[in-house]
Amino acid sequence: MASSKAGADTSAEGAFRTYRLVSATYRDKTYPDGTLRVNDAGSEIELRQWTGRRKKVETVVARFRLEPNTEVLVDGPLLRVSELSVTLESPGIAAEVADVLRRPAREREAVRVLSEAESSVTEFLETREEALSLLSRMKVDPRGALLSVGSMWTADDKEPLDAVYSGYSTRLSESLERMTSSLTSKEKSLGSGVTDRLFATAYAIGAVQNALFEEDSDMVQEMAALQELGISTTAQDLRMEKPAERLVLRAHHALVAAVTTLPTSD
Amino acid sequence: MPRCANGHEQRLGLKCTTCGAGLSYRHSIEELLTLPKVEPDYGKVSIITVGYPRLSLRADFVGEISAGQVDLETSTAFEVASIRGGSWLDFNKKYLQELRRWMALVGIGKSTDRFVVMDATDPLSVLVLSALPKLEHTAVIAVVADQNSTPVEQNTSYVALSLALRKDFPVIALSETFEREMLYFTEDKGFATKADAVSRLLEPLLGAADDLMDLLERDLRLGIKMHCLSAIVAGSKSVYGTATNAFLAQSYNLSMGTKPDEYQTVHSLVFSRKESEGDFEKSFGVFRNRKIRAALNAEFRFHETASPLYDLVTIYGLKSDASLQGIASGYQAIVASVPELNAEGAY
Repeated sequence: MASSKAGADTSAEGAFRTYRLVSATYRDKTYPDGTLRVNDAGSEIELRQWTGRRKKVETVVARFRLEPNTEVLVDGPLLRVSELSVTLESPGIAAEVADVLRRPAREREAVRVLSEAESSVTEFLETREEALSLLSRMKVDPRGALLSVGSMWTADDKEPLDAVYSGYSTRLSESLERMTSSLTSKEKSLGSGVTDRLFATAYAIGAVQNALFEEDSDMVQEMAALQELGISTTAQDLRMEKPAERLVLRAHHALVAAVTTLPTSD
Repeated sequence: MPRCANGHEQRLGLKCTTCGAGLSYRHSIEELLTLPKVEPDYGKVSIITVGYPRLSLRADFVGEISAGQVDLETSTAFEVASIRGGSWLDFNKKYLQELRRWMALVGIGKSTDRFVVMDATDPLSVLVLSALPKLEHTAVIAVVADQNSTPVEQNTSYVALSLALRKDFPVIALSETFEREMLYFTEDKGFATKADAVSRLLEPLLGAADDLMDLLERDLRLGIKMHCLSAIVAGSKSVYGTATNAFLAQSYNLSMGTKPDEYQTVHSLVFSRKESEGDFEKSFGVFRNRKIRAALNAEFRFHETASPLYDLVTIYGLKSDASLQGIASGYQAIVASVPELNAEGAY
């Protein structure tokens, strides 16, 4: 691999890697030699040509940003992307460049999958939040609380509160099943580390819900656990209405960072 | 609890504090399916009012059942849309299931004691007594039709009272005339009539719910379900003189037109300053010996208050069908025209 070498210069989205090319064609014009530079994020590409009498001066022929969904084709040492065709020194180098250029699409897909997984976590936690919020209300206003969920009581042979427990248990089981199968099915894309973290996030937020229901905790342990998961919060913030969705949203950045630094699978 | 690969359990965190291995939450996540058990506190005393939407009564729960413009259910009110020309049977047909459901949702059977304060001439009174399950520690305080009431009102009251007695609910009956003529005066609130007077009368009585229910249930064990009462509200020594005089004076204003030979028991509840307790207790003995010597049981209950004015309420246990007899003719007249409006039609 003659030329796979990160350059010293950087773009806003990481350092550039420089590859020597055998030839390149850009907008129907052929360049017999030069270099191809690609930033680490795979979002910028630059074609340079040696110029000058002794071919020692590098002149930029083209520099452009790639959309995340730009198609990148590899055929042996030949790499085609947008209006640029480049023959690199070997098929291995062409594959490496393609991998870098495919990163934005890969990351975008990973974030999409992560968002779906997070949605299933949020849905489960919101169902649980709703149940616990009703049970909390039961402690202070049992009549108002039961009346507000009167539709859950359909069988006269059961106590209304038992029907509410039963209804929420069913909803929670279904919701947990959806969450678990969503996380498990996405594990291949997300990686087991991120999947584990999503389970940990759900459990920690569940622990916060329990602490809020018990009303007797300063939630120090819960907040420390959230902090470890990249969720900054305060006890006051946790006591505000409907914290589950907010907390999952706050976990998102740390999870995106984890999911986008995954090693490539191919 | 989450655990690491080496089996160490830990409440929260990403790494095991014992061995440093990562914690797995995959199996422990099912713990979140368990919902904590709550034991709702429905309070000790529940009051259901029927046909008295603005009674001012204090209890752990006061639920109002009334007829209005629209159907409306809240945790403290069950309002039905009026049915033009509707009898108790029409309301029963339309609302019985809904009211039973509402009563279950507001936990009517969950509090220790229940009092139903009702206008028994109101068709809703039958509906409420039909919907109410046969529960212990449940008593009815009812304004009932008397001989001045219309046959329709007499029929409704007769059915409501029959239903209450059938469910073994002790009843304290106040005739419509007694209710209409109730007039109380207090320096802080001025004159109280109608619903305000009912509130003022029931305020001390239901404030002593524990004692009241105890007395009514003692009578129930003797087979006495029906009661009437007499009362002095905001009495003072300057008006009534001795406590003995007060007992005698109140006994002339009975809530039902009954004869002394119908009295089976007599109980007085006095709400006054502590220093008057002995005086009232002694006078209760005198009153009992003088007026109701043959009573099967007689109890005196004293409740200390800070007010210089006292309240005195006496409850008389009656032969059970005494108050039904007075309105039986009106009841029968209606049943003769509309056989469905008989007492057995309500359940």
